Amino acid sequence: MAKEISEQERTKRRRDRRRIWAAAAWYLAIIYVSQWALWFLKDTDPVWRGLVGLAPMIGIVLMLHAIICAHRESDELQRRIDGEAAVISACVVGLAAFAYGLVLAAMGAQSQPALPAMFVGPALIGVWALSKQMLSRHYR
Amino acid sequence: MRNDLPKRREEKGWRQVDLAERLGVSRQTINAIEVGKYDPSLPLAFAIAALFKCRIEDIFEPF
Repeated sequence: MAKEISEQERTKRRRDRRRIWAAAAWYLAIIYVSQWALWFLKDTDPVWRGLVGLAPMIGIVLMLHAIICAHRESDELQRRIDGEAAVISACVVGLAAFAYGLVLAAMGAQSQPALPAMFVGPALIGVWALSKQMLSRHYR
Repeated sequence: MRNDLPKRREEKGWRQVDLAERLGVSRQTINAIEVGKYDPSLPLAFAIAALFKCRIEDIFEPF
């Protein structure tokens, strides 16, 4: 069966891509500028350094806005797929992190985890994308 | 749910993508409904019924 998409769908995808890429560009630019600013502020008050360190949150909010807009404008099946993928991702990553914590505790290394918490975000996104592909195939 | 959406769509000479465009959903949604993998929401079921000028239960029936 030909995998045609309607003109509305094509326009929506184009708009979503544009919105998400713009948010990602802002996010990267804010990270770059904040890191650059931190280098200049290395001898200043830690409060200022902390505030500048939090600047990437602005990019995260923009990214979140773009993702939520794309989700809300999706059709109902796409929203179901996104939701199921999010549940799978949260369960897989959450339980894996919990199991990892238990392993570390059993090894007596609670204070210094070998994997930084920074990997939780990319892991959530990665598992979500993978689940979404699998669920899309299921509903095809 | 069972449905006779493919038959009704073909009678009109529409492809899945044509029906999707008329209903404002993706072609994947139409395909999933037609093969019975996805049950449409009530608003979408009403929109489908209105498009084919019939009642929801004329198109969809529970297993």
